[in-house]
Amino acid sequence: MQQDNLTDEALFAAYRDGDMAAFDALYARYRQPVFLFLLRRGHIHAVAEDLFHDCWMRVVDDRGQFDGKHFRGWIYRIARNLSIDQIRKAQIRATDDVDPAEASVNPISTQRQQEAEDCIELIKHSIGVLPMEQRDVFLLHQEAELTLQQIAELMAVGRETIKSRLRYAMQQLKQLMADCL
Amino acid sequence: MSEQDDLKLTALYQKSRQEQPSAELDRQIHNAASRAIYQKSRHWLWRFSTAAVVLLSFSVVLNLLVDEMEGPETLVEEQVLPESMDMAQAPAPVAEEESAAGAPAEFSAARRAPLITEAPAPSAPALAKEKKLSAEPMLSSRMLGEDSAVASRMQDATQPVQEIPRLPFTLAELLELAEDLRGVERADATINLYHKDKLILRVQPQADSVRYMAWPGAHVLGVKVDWFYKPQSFNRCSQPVPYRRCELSEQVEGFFEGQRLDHIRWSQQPGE
Repeated sequence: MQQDNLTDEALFAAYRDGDMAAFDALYARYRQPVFLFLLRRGHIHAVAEDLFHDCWMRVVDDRGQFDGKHFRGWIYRIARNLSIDQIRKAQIRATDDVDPAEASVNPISTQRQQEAEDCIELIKHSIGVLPMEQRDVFLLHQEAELTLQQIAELMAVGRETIKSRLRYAMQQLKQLMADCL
Repeated sequence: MSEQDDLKLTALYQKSRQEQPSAELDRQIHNAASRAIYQKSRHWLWRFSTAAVVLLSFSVVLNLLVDEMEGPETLVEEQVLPESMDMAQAPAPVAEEESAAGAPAEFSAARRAPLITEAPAPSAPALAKEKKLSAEPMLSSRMLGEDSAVASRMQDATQPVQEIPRLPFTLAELLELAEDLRGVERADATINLYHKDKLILRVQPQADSVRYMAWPGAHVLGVKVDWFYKPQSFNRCSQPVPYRRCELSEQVEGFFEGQRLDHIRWSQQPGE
């Protein structure tokens, strides 16, 4: 009850001191957003679940290393790094016979786009069509609710770059979703 | 490109936020987080216990050295002393710490085998059966080497060798297919089936069919797949990130992670 009013950082500090209820409250806040971030980044459900698990294990194992400043940015940084590692591993294995340029483009096939039945499905697929950099910015903005400045820090690029990536992402999504808007 | 479109897009995105991690995954993460904190609180106790054991050992050694100097008769008496001092209790905290140190590995195992801690130890016949079944791919891999096995498959890519039996779609019926199976049914009616420490089958009810996904290990259910297949053996494949999806046969699709066949997928009608 009272924990609803506590900040993420306060909850995490309480968990580090042995309060499991604080962990549960924190987990409830980030459970779906972090999972959806991984899923929308292009992983299939089973892989997203694995990465989600690994992400929380990293949070638990590295709890002593958290600087206490911005939990939201920290957990999404972990999730994103795990996702990048996973995709990189898959690409390394694929380089024997796959053009790396081809390997870096969207994971959603044209066939799946055609299969999209309604606007809800279409937006899921359209996000998958975005270049990964734009997809990251869109998801960190929409799903993680990070500010442009926070996304810029997380991705280690300038704020203006993030701003234009978000603009391009929105433009492309609007074009793809024109029939639904 | 109005701001109204931005709002509509955001609203659509919010509506699309339906997927969730499974309750089983929630439980695993909660347990792992709980254990991590529990271990921390036990840490000071272990240090204290270790210090006590070291101190006690030192005094016993000191006594023995004194006894050796004094003669064999007193030594025999003193050697009984550690047992009478209830030394058997001393190693207990050390044993606890050993299990604590092993915890991270246990967590990662539990990720793919969420119920393994609840599963009874497999019987000897079951182990023998499993060993025999799993020996087949190991044997071919060792004898031929992976490359030659792949080469032979590539030559024969037009005739994929696999057997996909018709499987039941209820958890109770699935559990009867083999020994050492554990299952979890999610709220959306998806079933995850685990054999020992591995996820081997996922059953997802669709509108008019049931979709199955099988991983290596599903042979205990009679699903026989040559996991040496590689994507270049097939013509109809999708984009490779994160998985490349290829048609292994008319009914079965394979999902490749790089060069490795990760899992297969097929559908069947419940009423068939």
